[in-house]
Amino acid sequence: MLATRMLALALTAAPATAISGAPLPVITRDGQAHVAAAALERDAGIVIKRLPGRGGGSEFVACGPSQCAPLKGVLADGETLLAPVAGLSEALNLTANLDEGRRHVTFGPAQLDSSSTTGTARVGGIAPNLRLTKLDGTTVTLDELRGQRVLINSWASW
Amino acid sequence: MQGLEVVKPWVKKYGVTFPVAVDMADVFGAAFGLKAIPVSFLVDEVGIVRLQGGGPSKEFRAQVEEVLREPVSAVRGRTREAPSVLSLGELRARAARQPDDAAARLALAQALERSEDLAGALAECNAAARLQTKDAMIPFTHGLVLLRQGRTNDALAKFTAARELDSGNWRIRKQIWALEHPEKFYGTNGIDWGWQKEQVARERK
Repeated sequence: MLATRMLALALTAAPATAISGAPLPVITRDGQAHVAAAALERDAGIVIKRLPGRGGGSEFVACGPSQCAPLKGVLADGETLLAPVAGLSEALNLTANLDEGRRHVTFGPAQLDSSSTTGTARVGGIAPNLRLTKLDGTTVTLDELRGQRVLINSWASW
Repeated sequence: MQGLEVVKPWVKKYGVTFPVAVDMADVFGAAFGLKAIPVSFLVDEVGIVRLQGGGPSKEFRAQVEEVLREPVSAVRGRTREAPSVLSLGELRARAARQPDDAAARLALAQALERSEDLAGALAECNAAARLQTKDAMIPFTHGLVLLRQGRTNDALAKFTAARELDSGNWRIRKQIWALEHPEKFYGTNGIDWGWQKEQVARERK
């Protein structure tokens, strides 16, 4: 079943996405193919982020350009995070093409636009865009603030 | 949700220096699915919601600082178009194309409220209510518009209907409490937290 997922599948004409087709070095652990998070981010436009987990541990989420999904099986190798290729492929609905020696993997765009679900923001998901009006009457959208880390506090007088 | 007259004095009193937005139509609450406030979210440079916290706490602050220490990613996430960012014209067009879409009518209602067309906002709330009877946010938004018109009793009726649909929603509950018992919130002694605890116990019965 795993092997089937990893074979190159014929892609229908898919809209261009930010997932680039650069080959990433494969790191094998326990017989499973992984890629380093830094390479994923730099060369494929996929980020792996850590979220506070239950019981004080961490959970991980993988984010492509328009969707995020929980990612299991992330390994820590010293300072580096290693993401499982099969897990990534499933989480973000990507095709993963391994070369013959299983030394490099290339991720391809999702076959269907599975930009997911509801508009409600969840920890681990991409924040929805909003336009709000400030006290001085000017407006601000969350998308304008992309590139910065933003702390939003919502309150009322009660 | 309570307007400039409430927000401005608080901002002045606490010497707030960061940008403050006023959200009369509860756009933020709807998008982030808020059930209770105060609440804080940390959104990182990619656009990912990394943390959610309640009131200020040491633990939340420590988590925020941990995220802030991370190296900055160059990746930027893309969001789907959000109703609050569509222009009034675009929302009108969308509602015209999809007149039976309650969410489209509600989003138009919120935009009309923002542009001071309260009568228009009410009409769209009514339309949304005819299409969808289970979503608490429709009567809640309706109530907020009525409140802006000074129709407090009518607003209260709508908020009460919203509370029926979503009894776990503390924002709706508190909005009702503040309207029915303003002296417990805006008196000279500030918010009467003891009263709120008692009220919760009373309502549980």
